[in-house]
Amino acid sequence: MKNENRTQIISRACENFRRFIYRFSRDPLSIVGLVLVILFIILAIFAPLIVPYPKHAEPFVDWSNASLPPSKDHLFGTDNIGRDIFSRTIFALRGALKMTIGVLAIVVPIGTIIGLVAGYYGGAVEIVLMRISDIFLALPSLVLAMAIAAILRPTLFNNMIAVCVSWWPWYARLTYGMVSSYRNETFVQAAQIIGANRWHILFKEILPNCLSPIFTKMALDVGWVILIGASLSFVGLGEQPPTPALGTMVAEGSRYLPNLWWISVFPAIVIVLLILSFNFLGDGLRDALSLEEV
Amino acid sequence: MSEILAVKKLTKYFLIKQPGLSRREAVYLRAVDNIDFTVEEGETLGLVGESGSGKSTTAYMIVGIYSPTSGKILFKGTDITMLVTKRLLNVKKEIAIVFQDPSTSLNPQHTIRQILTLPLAVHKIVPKSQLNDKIEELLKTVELPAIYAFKQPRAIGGGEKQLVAIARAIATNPRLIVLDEPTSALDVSVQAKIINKLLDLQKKLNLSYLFITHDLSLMRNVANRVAIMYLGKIREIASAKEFFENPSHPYTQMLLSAIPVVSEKENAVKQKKILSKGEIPSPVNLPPGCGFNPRCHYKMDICLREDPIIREVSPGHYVRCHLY
Amino acid sequence: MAKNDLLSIENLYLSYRIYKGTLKVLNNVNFEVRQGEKVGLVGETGCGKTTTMKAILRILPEQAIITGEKILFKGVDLINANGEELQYIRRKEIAMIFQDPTSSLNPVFTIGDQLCDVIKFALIGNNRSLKKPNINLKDIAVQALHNASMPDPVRILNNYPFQLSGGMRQRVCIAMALATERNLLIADEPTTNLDVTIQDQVLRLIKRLVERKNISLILITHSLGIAREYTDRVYVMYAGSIVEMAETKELFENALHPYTLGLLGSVPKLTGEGISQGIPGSLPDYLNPPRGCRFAPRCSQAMKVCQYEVPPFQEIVPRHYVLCFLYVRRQSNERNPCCQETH
Repeated sequence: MKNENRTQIISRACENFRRFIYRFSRDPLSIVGLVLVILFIILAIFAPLIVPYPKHAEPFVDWSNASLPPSKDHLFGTDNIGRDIFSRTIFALRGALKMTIGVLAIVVPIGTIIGLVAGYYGGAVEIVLMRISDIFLALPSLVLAMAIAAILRPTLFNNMIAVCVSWWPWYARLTYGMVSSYRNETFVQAAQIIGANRWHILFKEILPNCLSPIFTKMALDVGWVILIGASLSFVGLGEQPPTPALGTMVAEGSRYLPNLWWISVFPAIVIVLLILSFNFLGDGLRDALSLEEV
Repeated sequence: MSEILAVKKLTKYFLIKQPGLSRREAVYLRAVDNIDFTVEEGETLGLVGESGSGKSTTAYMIVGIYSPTSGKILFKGTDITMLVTKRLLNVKKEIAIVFQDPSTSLNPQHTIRQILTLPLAVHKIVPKSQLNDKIEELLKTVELPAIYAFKQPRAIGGGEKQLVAIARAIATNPRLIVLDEPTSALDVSVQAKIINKLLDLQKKLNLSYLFITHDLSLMRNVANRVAIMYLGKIREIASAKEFFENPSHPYTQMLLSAIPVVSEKENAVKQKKILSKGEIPSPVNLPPGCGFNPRCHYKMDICLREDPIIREVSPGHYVRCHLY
Repeated sequence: MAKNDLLSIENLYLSYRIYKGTLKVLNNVNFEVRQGEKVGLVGETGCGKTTTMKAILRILPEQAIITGEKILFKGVDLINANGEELQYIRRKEIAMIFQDPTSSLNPVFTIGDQLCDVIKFALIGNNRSLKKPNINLKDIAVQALHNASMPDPVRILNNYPFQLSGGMRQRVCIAMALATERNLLIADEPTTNLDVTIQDQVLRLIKRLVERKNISLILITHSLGIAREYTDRVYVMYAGSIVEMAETKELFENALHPYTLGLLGSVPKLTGEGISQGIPGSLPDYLNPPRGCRFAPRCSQAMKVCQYEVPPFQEIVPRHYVLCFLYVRRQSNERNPCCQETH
């Protein structure tokens, strides 16, 4: 019986995986997104080993090579104090991805649990929690994040806090909506009739059914968080120089437009590519995880 | 034989609109209105009705999903007239339910093993070490292969899912099982298998069933006694034989006439051909007097004024109609 | 295809592409409807009846691959028809009613709007405008609702679908289908979601309307009782093949195919004689359907030949056809090799 158990579980997992891959690959853009995302992650992790000029991410000045246009030696050119833009851009990916992971790691659990509680208990609990989240939702996330980041010292960590504060209601609302509808499903009623306690129903019955939309939203949110992070560093509320950050690089380079265009444009293109690739990935995930049968 | 379930003056009104500026009184949906019936040990009581009859609401009150507006539910003499969350654990062990649609009554994210483990774990039916064996035994009882324990509901067919739901229901050795249209979502050949299994289990385990369906032909072959509901009230209740040989209430006769049958013999059973007419009114706007009067072919003056009381027309055969 | 056939499906095969391979759903379906005839298509879930109907109207999803000879409607081959011909047929010739009236009607438009749209498209001429510009669409709509036994049709025109009950919505769908002259009405389980007494009324209405105007009817249902009371001829379908076809009275009195017999046995009888054990097993896997008869794995009378060869669809008794080796006649007098029993 034990060996049969294992083979059954493995074959079921394989089956689900194959169906997932098929659905995911139906749209070629999803694969493009996946490849790019993996590429970006590898670049970010191994940045010091890959980039041609790792030292340029630290305090560095080289007047002799300043303001060079893109060339063989400097793929994205150099900035006004001689640092290689390409290397700095790759290093900046680290900050962007760190921030994203940090924000999502905090926002998703907290938002989800608040949504679960509000959706299941209803009544006063629901009203209080959802109105609080409504308040946060009413304020534009960028503005709120800027306000909070401006109050605290400008560091990557504080940026993360700022974005977290404005982001959690989305997950609360998403989960709340799903829980409110699942609460009346017959499998939940069946569990109640059997006599399961509230913890079991919330976390073992309802929550597993809510995960797919949450994962999809996470993938699509990465783009937003990166954009907000870049916006915050664009206005100076981010990692301070000399640590490279995408938004900061765009801001600094904007002074030299249109002559030394490469200082702004390349980091901006990378921001766009980064967000696009996560969006494609998110779309693919949504198609693959959707419950519709082919 | 003892009484397993007794329902007395059971009523459920849902509040639709609060009294406010434009109206003085609250508007209620009278889903179930003052019904009485009993279920004996080992028997099947059939509850028949169309939409708006209140049969599902009755079932949900018995298992505790809804709490009644008034009335009592007695299980083996104990008063259980409350929501399921407030009931004692050993009461929950004894009453089980099988829902109509197994695709939604089994958690789609769980494996069959997890689904069957839940009742066993909550009521500590077996120690953890014997869990696997018990699950295998349950699957065997409903004639499903043991391998199914590792499948998810979406991987098996409708009839098999319903068998899993039945296995889940009998896991705690209940005394009463409420079956809410258990085969309405299934094909007729699959229905035959499920019904036979249910009847088989009833004999083996001495179960009592509250069997709800709109299919009178099915009821004829399953129930010992039948009660027919219309707009929240029981209109007729009798033994199965009596119910089908001497249908007394005009609604029963109308329903019987409307059933499509597959043989001439059955046509003969239908006796009268009553053409159904009219729509089923909403339980919110009840017509005054007898709720069936807009559609009744035998309508009399008194039917528009007074709601009839339930009377015994022959031993064990009760009808709610002014004709009697 | 006989001369007075309105619709004729010949040797239709249909498959769906999915991630695991192809589902070979329809397996040599042959189906005819004559003008004015009421034909029933009976089968259980997954047997392919709705797929066949959708193939006629060409409203299948893109993963469907149709191979097969022809689907002829009044002489036009629907498999190879171009967009214009299909549009003409959908607007003017064939109407379809679906199982769920709630999802067949657009919830944000009034009944009047939707009804008038359908009528307008049916009456449009080739130059995209109404043939006779003086036609009042509303009048036709009211007349259609009146024919469908709707009380107070003028008021209904201004109602939204959510304001009507299930039975009334289905009657609106019937009105939409039969508002203009049609030759064929396809009703796909039109009363499955309705209460029994309402079902009775709706089916009687459909029967009356098609008989009055001599419209052909294809009634798809999984209920044998409904097929028996409302059709002239019945096809029984299993796993993508037609297994039996006969005139209704003949089929119910003398069913031949083991599947049909199994189905009839499974239906609970009002006489209270108990229910049979059903049909063991389940539908075959369409990815790898059985090589021979698709019902053989579940058939208590299966023979050796049933596993390897597809049985012929033969006329056993006049106008009663069966797809089964049990009834195959041989020309010669030699010992019938297909009568060897298995297990």
